[in-house]
Amino acid sequence: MRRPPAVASALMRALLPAAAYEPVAGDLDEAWHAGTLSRARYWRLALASIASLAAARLARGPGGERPRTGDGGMRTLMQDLVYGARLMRRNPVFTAAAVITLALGIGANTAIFGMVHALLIEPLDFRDPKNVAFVRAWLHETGTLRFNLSTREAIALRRQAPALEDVAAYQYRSANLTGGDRPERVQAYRVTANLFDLLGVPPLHGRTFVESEGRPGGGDAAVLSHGLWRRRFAADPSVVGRDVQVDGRRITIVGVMPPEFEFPVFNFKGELWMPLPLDEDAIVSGRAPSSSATVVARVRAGVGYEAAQAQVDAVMRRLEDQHPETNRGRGARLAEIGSVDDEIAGPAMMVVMLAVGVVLILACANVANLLLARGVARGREIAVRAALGAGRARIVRQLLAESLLLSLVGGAAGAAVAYVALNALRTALPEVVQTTQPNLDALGLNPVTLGFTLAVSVAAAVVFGLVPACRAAGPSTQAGLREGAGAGGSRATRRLRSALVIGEVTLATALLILGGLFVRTYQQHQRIDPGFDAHRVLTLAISLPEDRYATPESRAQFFETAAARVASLGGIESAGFVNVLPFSTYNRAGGFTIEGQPAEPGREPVAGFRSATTGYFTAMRIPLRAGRAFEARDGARGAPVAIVNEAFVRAHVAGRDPLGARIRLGGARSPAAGRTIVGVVGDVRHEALTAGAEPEIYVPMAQSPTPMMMLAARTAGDPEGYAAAVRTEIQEIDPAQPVFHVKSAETLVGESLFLQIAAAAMMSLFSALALALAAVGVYGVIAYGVSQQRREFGVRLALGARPRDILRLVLRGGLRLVAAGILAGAALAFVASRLIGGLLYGVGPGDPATYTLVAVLLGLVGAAACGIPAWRAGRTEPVSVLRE
Amino acid sequence: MRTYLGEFEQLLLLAILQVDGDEAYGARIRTEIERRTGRLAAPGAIYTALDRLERRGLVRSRLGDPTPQRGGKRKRHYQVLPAGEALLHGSQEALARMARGLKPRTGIS
Repeated sequence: MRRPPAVASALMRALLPAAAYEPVAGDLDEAWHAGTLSRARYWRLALASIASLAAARLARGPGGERPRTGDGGMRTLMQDLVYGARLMRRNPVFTAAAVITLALGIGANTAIFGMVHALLIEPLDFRDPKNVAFVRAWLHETGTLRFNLSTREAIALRRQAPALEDVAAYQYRSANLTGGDRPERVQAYRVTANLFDLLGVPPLHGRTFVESEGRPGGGDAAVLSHGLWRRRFAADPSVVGRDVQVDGRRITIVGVMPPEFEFPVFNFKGELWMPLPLDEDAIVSGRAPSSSATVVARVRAGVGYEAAQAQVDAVMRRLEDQHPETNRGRGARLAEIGSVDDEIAGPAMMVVMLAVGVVLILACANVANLLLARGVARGREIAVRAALGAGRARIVRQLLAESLLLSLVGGAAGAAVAYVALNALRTALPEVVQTTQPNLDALGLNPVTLGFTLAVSVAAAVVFGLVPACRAAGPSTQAGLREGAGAGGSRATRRLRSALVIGEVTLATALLILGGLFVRTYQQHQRIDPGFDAHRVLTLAISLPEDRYATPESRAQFFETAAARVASLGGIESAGFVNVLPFSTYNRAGGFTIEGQPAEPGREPVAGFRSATTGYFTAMRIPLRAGRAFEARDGARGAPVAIVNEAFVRAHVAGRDPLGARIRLGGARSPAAGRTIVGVVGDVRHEALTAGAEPEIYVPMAQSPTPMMMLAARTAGDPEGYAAAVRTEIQEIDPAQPVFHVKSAETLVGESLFLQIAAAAMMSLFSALALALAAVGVYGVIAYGVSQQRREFGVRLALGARPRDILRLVLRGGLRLVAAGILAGAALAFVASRLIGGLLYGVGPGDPATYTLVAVLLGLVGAAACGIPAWRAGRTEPVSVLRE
Repeated sequence: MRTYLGEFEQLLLLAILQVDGDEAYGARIRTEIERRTGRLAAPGAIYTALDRLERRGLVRSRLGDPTPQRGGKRKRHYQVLPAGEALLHGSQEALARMARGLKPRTGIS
């Protein structure tokens, strides 16, 4: 038996009153099965039924009572809406102009709200996320926050701060997953066994870690993220209990997390979690080494952050007393886990939200302007209504209902605009955001964003509809009945339109100036020399599993072979490895001492630690300032040497020859051998273009081969085009070895500018929109004024005025308004730019070039917007006008 | 309270009377109107109008049995009440009086 159309049935079930659903849908189904209805006809009848029953219900009012005729809420609203819809159909040009304007304004606002909501407001998917906190190290002397604590500090906090319900720690571990068709690198973490309980997220399948797995010898286990489970194990629930090959070792999968579980935040989202076994007593007593870990805590419900912070301070002070060699000057700060990225993106987002709000205001102003003009044109209709007994409130209500309809249609179109914009944004996010930002799934249209669209649409209808409606229904309505009267609109209406022009130009000018400042900020960033040449350089990362590459010699040999093989590829000019590339978001730093400059334990100076192969400086074109680069003789058995950068020389060996000075890596009591400085290289910006260069120490890779290294290969053409060949070369050395983070060095630098690029792009987009809206607004007002003054111009021309005089008259009137707007806008921008000073770089908030450029641009646009109607005014045919 | 019947209301009352007593439910009424007048009405419109007539005390309805053809949904059966018959009669009379004498010219009787 054919089934009736399911969607139509569902619609009827959802939309028909309960009492009507059964007989109506039953009748249709019966006719369907009797074979008398086509699918199209079933649909038509179903929709017609819904419409007629809904209309009947509206007409009766909510209580089922039939309202008194002529008045009463829903019925008249319905009438007004129907009338409004008819008007919209009859004036397609007006409707299109208003709807497109509103769609842009509302769409842009919805998109930005959707972004802010997903990235800043939407709570993280943990139990009571407000009570989950990062515990970050706070260095008193420099006033800086560091993300990691030591495991000893974490244990002390867990044991001694009762305001913290629990404390967990985790460490990032690169892990190579093998055993499938192709080796894969996954984002893996070692986590204390209590982490999942602390976050309060139960697994989807299996279990999370048990306490015994958190102790040494407690056995290894793996919990998978939902994404990895789906990608690698085809979402098969029976993987729980099976083994997986992690870095060559077999580990049993014990659980799978649900899709909404994203942890950690503010670092690579984990795909695989393994227990971090801690011998707590041994670490506390110093028998076992303490290591560095990121620490999260759950603040006990009802205690509050302030009280918890006080206890944390007390614990950290005790540690300072007990272990001055490691803990001097170290405190710890609690911060709600969801608030940490707000610190960075929050201010920029606020500016963008303001900008997009301005765009909406301009859109509303333009539509209001259209409605004002139409209100004058409809003067006669409204006067007739008033004469027939419609009260002022009744007329205002009718006009507002029309505005509402316009706004809702604009809002619906705006939702479509936002959908496209948000999808584009999602794919445009750089890798580092995609892999670290939680809640990206919320970035799209959802009930919350659509609710926002609806609210904005209704609010916009009131904003742009109220003044024209009151104006049109004003006390002078009866004047509209007289033939030819009120043609220019009342004086008050004209003044209102002038105010509209000034206001629009003001806002557009201010926004353009702010946008210009952001663009200049981005340009200034691009002008910064990062200290290396990112052009045509391919980069990627390799992480050797410790089981197969247990000895330093094996690792050194792998990377030396890889560097040599890559460098010998056709089209590769030079290639080298380093443990952390600039702008890779990875960094390494450590304490050191200079021979002859003793440092107190715990207060050793710190420098960036780089382990590089011989070809690295050449491939990156990092200039050698003094001495020599690494050479083949700096092998594992060669004399220990180091190269430092200029920032190091300035900070630590100023005033003497750095070459030949000896440094020792590690703390003051480090057993490491002293290294002779053999060269000085130029400074490289590592984390951000705007951050100053930090002191750096380079050591030869062969003397300190870290398991994870990053390749820099200078190519002859498009670097990404060489990725496949390089990957093949690596895999020929070791087929089980994945490569990752494959991208050009320019992309690497560009991703670090993501915030600046996004801010500049969005501000440019929105200020361009604002400019366009303002231009249309100015044009509309002036053109309308000209059309209303045709008679006057005709008289003037007949009395001997030259067309040029008329043109000048109109132009002068319009440009006066535009000039007032530009001045007011510049003043507004001057005030507003103080507030965004912190987001600018290399350009002052009062940057004269930006202000001048924007003023000239707006002057030109304004002149064009006024010029066209002015020119038309000058060409008025006096005879034809006077005859009208 | 209105004391006249609209055209569609008259069609509905006539259709209920035309269909044999127990068979007068929505789908049957609809096909009856369609068969005799060629007019296609949406079930929703029919029930809206019947609902109005019921509240005016002109027809009454009861819920019937579900059938498999209806996807297990129940029918609503209608019956014209005496007040309905009287009003229908009056409306038809009025129409007829208005049309009297026009036949030779227009063919309306």
